[in-house]
Amino acid sequence: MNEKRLTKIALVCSLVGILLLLLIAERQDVSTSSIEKITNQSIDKEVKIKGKISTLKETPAVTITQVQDATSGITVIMFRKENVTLQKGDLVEVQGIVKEFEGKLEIEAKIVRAF
Amino acid sequence: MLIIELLLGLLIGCLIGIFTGITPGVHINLVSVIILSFSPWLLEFVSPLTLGLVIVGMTIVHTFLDSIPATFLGAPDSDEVLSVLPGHKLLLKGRGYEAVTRTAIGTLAAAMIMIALTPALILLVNVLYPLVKEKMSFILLILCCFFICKEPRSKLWALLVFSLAGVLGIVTLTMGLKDPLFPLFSGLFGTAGLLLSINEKVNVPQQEISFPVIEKKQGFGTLLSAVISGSLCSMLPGLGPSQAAMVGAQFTKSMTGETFLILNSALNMVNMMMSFITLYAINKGRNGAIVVVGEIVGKIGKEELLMLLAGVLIALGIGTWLTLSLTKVFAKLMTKINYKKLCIGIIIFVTGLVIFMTSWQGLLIYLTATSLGLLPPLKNVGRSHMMGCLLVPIILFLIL
Repeated sequence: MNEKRLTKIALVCSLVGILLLLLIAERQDVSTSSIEKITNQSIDKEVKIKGKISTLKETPAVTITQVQDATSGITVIMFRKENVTLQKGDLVEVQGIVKEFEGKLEIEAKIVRAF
Repeated sequence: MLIIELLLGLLIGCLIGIFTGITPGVHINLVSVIILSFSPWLLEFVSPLTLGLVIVGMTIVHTFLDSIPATFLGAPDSDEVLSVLPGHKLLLKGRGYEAVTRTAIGTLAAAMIMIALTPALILLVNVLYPLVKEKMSFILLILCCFFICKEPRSKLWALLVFSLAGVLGIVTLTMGLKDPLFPLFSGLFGTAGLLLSINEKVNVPQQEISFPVIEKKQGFGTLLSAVISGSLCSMLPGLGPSQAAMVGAQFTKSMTGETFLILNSALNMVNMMMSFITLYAINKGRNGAIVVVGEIVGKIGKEELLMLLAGVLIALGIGTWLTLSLTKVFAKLMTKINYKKLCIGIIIFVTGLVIFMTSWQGLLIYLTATSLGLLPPLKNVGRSHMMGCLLVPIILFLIL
C-alpha cells in the first residue's frame, strides 16, 4: 500500500457512492403532478403535488390538511408536523404515498415544503 | 434535481466535518443537535434526506480528521482517547504524518468491510439484540469490571476515576441542561488533555512525510478484531470505540502502538457504521449524530439506508483525501507554530462555547470535568475509565 493506491481506493469509493446515490435519487425524484391526475390507480404509489392549504387541523399526533391546486383538492396527512410550521393559505409542495381512507383518496406526506 | 441537492448537502456536511474534525472540543453530536434545532426551518428548503446527508458527510469527515488534533495536539475527543498516546509518541519521533495515515487506512478499510457486511450485520442485530436487551445491565456491569481489572497500572485509581466520572455523569444528566454532554466531554477529554500539553513543554521535531508499511496479515487481523468487538459493543449503550478497543486488543496478538492506531480508528468507523445498522434494524442509533439523522429522516427504510451508505462512500473518498492533504500541512506547520499559544487559544474558544451554550451550570460541570480529566494521565491510568460518566447512569437507569 502506498499513498497513490490509497488515493485510488478513496476515489473509487466516491465514484461508487455517487453512482449509487444517482440511481436511488432517480427513483425517489418524483415529478410534480396535478391533483386531478391522482386516481385509484395511484394508491400506494408515490406522488408529488403543489398547491395551497385550504384547511388545516392539528392534533398532537398528526396534522391533517386539505391541499388545493387549480384542478382539484386532496387531503394530506402529516405525521411529523414539527418539521414544517404551516398556516392556512400557505403554498406547499407535498411528496408522499397515496392511500385510501374511508373511500377517499389521501396523501401520507413524506416531504412537505412550504414556500 | 434531487441528486444535486443531495450531493450539495453532503459536501456542506464534509466542510462542517473539516471544522469539527480539526478543532479539538467541537464534537459532531453538538453540531448535529444545532442542525436538528434548525431543521424545522431548513426542511422548508431541502428534503430530510439532504439534511441527513449533511450530518453523514460531517460525521465521516470528522471521524477521519479527528486523529489530526489527537496526534498533533494531544487533544482527543472521547472516541480518540486511546489513540492519543501512540499517535503522540510517533509525533515526537517525527512520524506524525505516518500516525495519522495509519488511522486513515484503518478508518477507510473498516468502513468498506462494514458496508460489505451490512446485510449480514442487520441479521445479526435482529437476532442478538433481543437476547442482549434482556441482560443489558448485567452485561454492562461485567464489562465495567473487565475494563477496570484490565488496567495494567493502578486498578484502585481506575476504579476511583470510573466512580467519580459516574457520579459526575449522574449529576450532569439530572441537572436538566439542554446539552449536558458538551461541557462534560469537553472537560473530561478535551481541555484536560490540552492543559497537560501546555505544562509538558513539548518540542515537536521536524516531521517526515513517509507512508506507513503495514504487514498484510497483521492489518487484516487488526481489522477483523475491530469488526467483531466493535459490532458487539455497538449493541450496548454507553460503550464507545475506546471500550471496544480494550476488548478488541485481547484478540490481537503482539499489539504495538502502530497497530493500535489502526485498531482504534477502525473501531471508530465500525461504531459509526453499526449506528446506521442499528438505526435501520432496531430503530436505535448508538451514536448521537446518527440518532439525529434518524430524527430528521424519520423511518429508515431500505432506500433511505442505501442512500445514507452511498453518502458514506462518497464522504470516505473525500475524508481520505482531506486527511492525507491536511496532515501534510499540519506536519509542516507544527514545527513553526507556538504550540503553547495554540493550546491556550483552543481552551479559551471551548470555554467560551461552553458558557455560551450551557451558561454557568454548564461551566460548573466543565470545570469539574476538567479537574477529573487531569487525574488519569497524572495517575498513569487509562483515560477511557472516564466513560463511567455514561456507563454508571445507564446501568442505574436499567436497574432502577
